[in-house]
Formats: sequence, structure tokens, C-alpha cells
Amino acid sequence: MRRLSDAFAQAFKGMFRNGLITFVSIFVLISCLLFVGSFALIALNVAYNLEDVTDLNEIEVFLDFDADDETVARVQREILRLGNVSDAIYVSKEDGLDDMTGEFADYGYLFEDISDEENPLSDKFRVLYIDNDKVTTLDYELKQIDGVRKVNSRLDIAATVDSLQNGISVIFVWFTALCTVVCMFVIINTIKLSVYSRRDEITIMRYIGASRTYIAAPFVLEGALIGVVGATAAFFLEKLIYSLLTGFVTAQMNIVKLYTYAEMTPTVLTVFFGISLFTGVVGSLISLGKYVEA
Amino acid sequence: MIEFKNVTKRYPEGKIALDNLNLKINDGEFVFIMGDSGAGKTTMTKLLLREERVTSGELWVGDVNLAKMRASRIPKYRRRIGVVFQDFRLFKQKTVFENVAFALRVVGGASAAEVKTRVMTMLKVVGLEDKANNFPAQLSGGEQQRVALARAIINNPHTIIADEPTGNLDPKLSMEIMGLLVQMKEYGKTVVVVTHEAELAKMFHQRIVRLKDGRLVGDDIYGGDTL
Repeated sequence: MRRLSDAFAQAFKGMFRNGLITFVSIFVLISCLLFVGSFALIALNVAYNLEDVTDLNEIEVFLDFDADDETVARVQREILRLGNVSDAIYVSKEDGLDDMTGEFADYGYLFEDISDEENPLSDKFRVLYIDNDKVTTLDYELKQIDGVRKVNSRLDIAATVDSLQNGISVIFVWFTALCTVVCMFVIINTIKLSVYSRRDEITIMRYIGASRTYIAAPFVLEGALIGVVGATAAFFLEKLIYSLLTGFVTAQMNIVKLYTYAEMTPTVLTVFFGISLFTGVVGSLISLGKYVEA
Repeated sequence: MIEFKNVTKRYPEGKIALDNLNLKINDGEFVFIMGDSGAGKTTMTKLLLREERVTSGELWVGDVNLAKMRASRIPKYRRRIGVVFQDFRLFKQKTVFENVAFALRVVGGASAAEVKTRVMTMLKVVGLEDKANNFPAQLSGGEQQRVALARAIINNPHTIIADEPTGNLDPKLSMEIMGLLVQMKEYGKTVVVVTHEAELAKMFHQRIVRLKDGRLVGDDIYGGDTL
């Protein structure tokens, strides 16, 4: 216990001993975290809104024009037997025509001459599915059902959304990696200065028989403390920036859905503290290098 | 017991610092290691502290062969060795008490009360009990070396290695420090003192080992008793 408190005391002293460079490290760390954090928040909100596009999770299955009641019932049974289907809602061609008339109410004259007997539509099912990733398979399976004339799925939209989300993820990973490297480089130099200013003490400790852990602990803690301070400051700054941005976006575009910062907090905290503690601890260990060698 | 068996130390740049050295130092013995610059004295110290590894041969300290000791065991080994340097190597920002206590804290296991008792006892042994709260800068060179000696012996090491312990001291203080080191022999410690001060060494009538170009060229007790 005493050793740990000693190590913390040394770590705090180290931070203040290298005051300016510690400040620079924290500043760079905060900047990087804000870049990563802002990008992550934007990416998450884009994904959140893209979910709406794919969340319709619906495919229209049109039956043959001459499908009788028995065919309709059989096709419905076969659709519901498929793994990825949650429901199959029947829409008769009469209801379909009514829907279309309502949808194009401004062009009512187009439908005036169409009687039930001359209805050009066919019966259909609105098939609700569960997993968007398996929609291609479902599309194929629906087309194989006897009595099905046409299947309208949103494969193109799903593919676009998927590639968009993948693209955002790749950029996010590269961006995070780049910022992590920058943070680590800065922290390595900070801790190196700290180690250099205490090199004589380290030599004495080695001769007295201090273990590597004993020697390294204050420096690793110093790196971790820089990380914690940076992550905490970045978290609150991000909160401020996010509230300003969401206020602006909501005022300009009502249609856009946005997460609240409270909803994002676990993600932001994980990313910020993950990056900063990783760079702090690993950066310190790299800085110590030969100094802790026996 | 310390034993060098056919020890050779060659540095990466090719320089041979110790050349097939054979030397045995018994438990409780006091030995001066002497020689000119480049004779291999410092290398011997580095090998004994396991700062360097022997190139060939065996170096035994007690039941440990330093030639084969793993790096992870070095800290524990060094706790059994007390070391004193020419430049004292004290923590400038710590008091005398804290400097000596630091060696105990590194090892761990001692309560605050025990640390206090043991540090004050050691300071008494080296005659500095009234300087416990002073900082190194407030002490003379001799006093600083006595602090270093107290730090070296507080963990009750079986061996004390002193590398030019009087190099920065005037003759009177040198006598004092050497006197204290000889006194350690009376406590049952094996003491190895590396020095180039031949006259000083002769005054204490202890074993003197002489090195030249990495080889043993003399091993006797001043007075002519060749070992």
C-alpha cells in the first residue's frame, strides 16, 4: 500500500516537474480525443439515421394475376415458414388500388376509369423480415415460391447503406489509429524527459535492488494520469461541442434523429479512456526502455 | 564466499578487461582490489553487481553463479549486496533518514516503526544519528559517504562492495571511512574495496589483490604474507 502511494506521489511530482511538456501532452491528447470523439459521434448518428432506411425491413411479394384464395393461403404459409420472416401481411389487389388512389390523391382523375374488374394490380404480401444482412437470401427464397410473380426488395438500398457504414467504420478505425500513434509519440517524449531527469535516482534504485516494477510504476502511473486528465477534459469538452452542434442541427433539420449525449456517454467514455490509458501506459513502458533493465 | 573461476570479460568493442582471472574471497574477509587505471577493477565491480555478465568462466557469490543468473533475479541478488560509490549517489531531495530508509522500502516488509528503529541504529553505527533530518548538501563528503555506507548495510547484506569510496575525500575523512569499512568485517561482512590509494590500503593491514591489464599480479597482506 505504501509502495503504491509512493508511486502515485512520484507520478504527481513527475507531472509537475515537467510542467510545460505535461501540459502540451495533455493538450495534444485532448485534441486527438476530440477529433476521434467528434468523428465517432457523427458516425454513430449517421448510422442511427441510416437504420431508418433499412429498418423498414419490408419486401413486397406480388402474386400471379390469377391467384385464387387457395394460392394466396398457400403462399402465405410458405412465406411464414422462411427463417428470416417475422410477418406476411396480405394486401388484396382492391386494397392495393385504394392505397394507390389515396397516395396519388392529387391525380385522382387517373383512377376514375379503373373499375374493380379492370384492376391492373395483383394481390401481394408485405413481408416483414428480421435480419437485414440476410435479405439477399430471403429475396431468392421468395422468388422460388410457386405463385409468386415478382419480388420488390430493397437490395440496392441495403447494399448502399452497408457500404456506407463499412466506409465510415474503416475511416473511424484509421482515424483512431492515427490519433493513438500521435498521442503515444507525445507521451513517450514526455515520459522520456521525466525518466531522464530522474536517471540518477533510477541508477541508485537499481543498485539497491529495486525491482523493475518498483522503478517503472511511477512513470507508468504518470503516463496513465496524463491519460486520465486528458480523457476527462476531452469528455466534458466533447459534451459542450455536441450540445452546441445538436442544437444547431435540430433547429436546421427537423427530420434528422440524434442521440443524446447521455446515450453516447458509455461509448465516449470507453473510447476516450481506452485510447488515453493505452497510450499513457504503453507510451511510458516504451520510454523506460533500457533504464529499467537490470 | 566470492569466487572468480577463469573469468574473462571482453567488451563488445573487443577490449579484454579481465583475462582468465582466478580469485577466491572467503566469507568475512576484507580485501582491497588495487591496480592502475584500466587494470580491470571497475569491471570486477560491475561483474559482482551483475551490471555486466562474464564472457567466459564462472563467478560465484555464495551459492549463485552470476554467469548464469537470469536478469529477473538480479534485483533480489543486489539486495544481498551493499554497494558504496565514490560519488556517494545519494538522493539530493531526501533527508539522511529518507536516503537510508529508501533501501528498506525498496525491499519492503518493514513497518514504519521498524524502519525508524533500523535507520536510526544504522545512523548510530556510522555516527550520524544527529544528522538524520539533514539533506546531503548540508553534509561534508565524509558524512555523505557514511550515509551511503549506512544505506548499503541496512538490509544486512553479506557482502559490501565499495568502489573508490575515498576518492572524493581528504586523507582524514578517508581514514574514517576505511575504518568504518574495516569495522564491517567485524560484523561478519565480506568487504571488497576497490581503490587506487596504495598507501591508505597498506595502513589497514588487510589482504590486497593487485590487478594489471585484467590479470592478477599480486595477492598478499601488507607485511609480506603472500597468500
